[in-house]
Amino acid sequence: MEIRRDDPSDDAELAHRVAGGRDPAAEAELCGRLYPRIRAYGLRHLRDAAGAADLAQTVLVVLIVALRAGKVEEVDRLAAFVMGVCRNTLLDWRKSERRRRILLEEFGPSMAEVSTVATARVDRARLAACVERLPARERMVVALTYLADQDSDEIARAVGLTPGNVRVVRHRALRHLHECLAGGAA
Amino acid sequence: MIALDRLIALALGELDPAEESEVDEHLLACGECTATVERLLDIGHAVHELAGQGSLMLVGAGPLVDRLERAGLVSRTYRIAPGQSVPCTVGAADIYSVAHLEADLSGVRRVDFLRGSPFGTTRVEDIPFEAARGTVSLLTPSALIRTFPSMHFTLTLIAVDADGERVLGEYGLDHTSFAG
Repeated sequence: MEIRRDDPSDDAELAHRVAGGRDPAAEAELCGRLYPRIRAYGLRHLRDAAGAADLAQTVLVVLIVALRAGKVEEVDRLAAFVMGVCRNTLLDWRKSERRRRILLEEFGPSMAEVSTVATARVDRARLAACVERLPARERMVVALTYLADQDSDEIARAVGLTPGNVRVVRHRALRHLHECLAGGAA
Repeated sequence: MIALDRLIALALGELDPAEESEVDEHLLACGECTATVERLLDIGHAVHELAGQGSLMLVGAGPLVDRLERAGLVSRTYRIAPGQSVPCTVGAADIYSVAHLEADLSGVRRVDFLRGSPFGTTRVEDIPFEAARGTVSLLTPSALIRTFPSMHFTLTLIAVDADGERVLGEYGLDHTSFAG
């Protein structure tokens, strides 16, 4: 998986170019950078991949329209503006499903390119090997967290730990899996 | 960059609303941290997938076994008393096999597990267990079992405390290889 090492100041520079007049190249690059971040926000808040993709497209439309119209007051704090749009969009969706569909129909085709950005999907075979390398207790806590949807108290009873220890073990396990996946040392 | 532990807490839903907002704003400005969070979230989905495919090997898996049994993923179950050996095999469509090893776990603080075969012995330290169940459960992917030749496995549970070690039980599995 390719990791984008973005500099926030690059976002602001692109946003200034968009705000300064029609600049399709700057708009495309800015959308390409922001799309995966907004989608990740959507994944966590909506728990739905299709909804997250819709959110990313909708927020980018609002952002570009606002930049073109000079309505983004603090362009150098673009992330704060984008987060505000994310929040308002989610609130708005709850009020009006129809308006969201109209916006997506109007702007969706022009967002087709940025929406093909790959998700950060982990390699399943490598993850299986990484799970195998976890100490037994960490492996069990991971399995109970994700398979049994158990909270810390329930897991604590199942594995003979305190809830606080379960949280520590769970963090350690995820850190180990993350490092194992990143390092490819499975 | 945000510390990995904070991103893990976000992915696990452990942050309070104010902390979550702060991290959210950072993520919207940082592609690298976003990719990390996406990967952490996908680990959960992937663990689900792997379990459904019969690709997780776990010991001390009582509550998890309950869950997998309810999902119809446990194809064979063996309950073995200390000193007992039972015949076992595997079928073409099996997903998981479970061996429940009976033991008196009262007062036990730590359990280690030994798995012996003609090819050697492996030791798994500090396995999770639920003393009230009176069993330690071994969950094995059937895909792995299908690769085994006919052979005898010796399984041993060991209680470990400050005074040393004591055997809680020895168990045998007489495996007949997959005939498919």
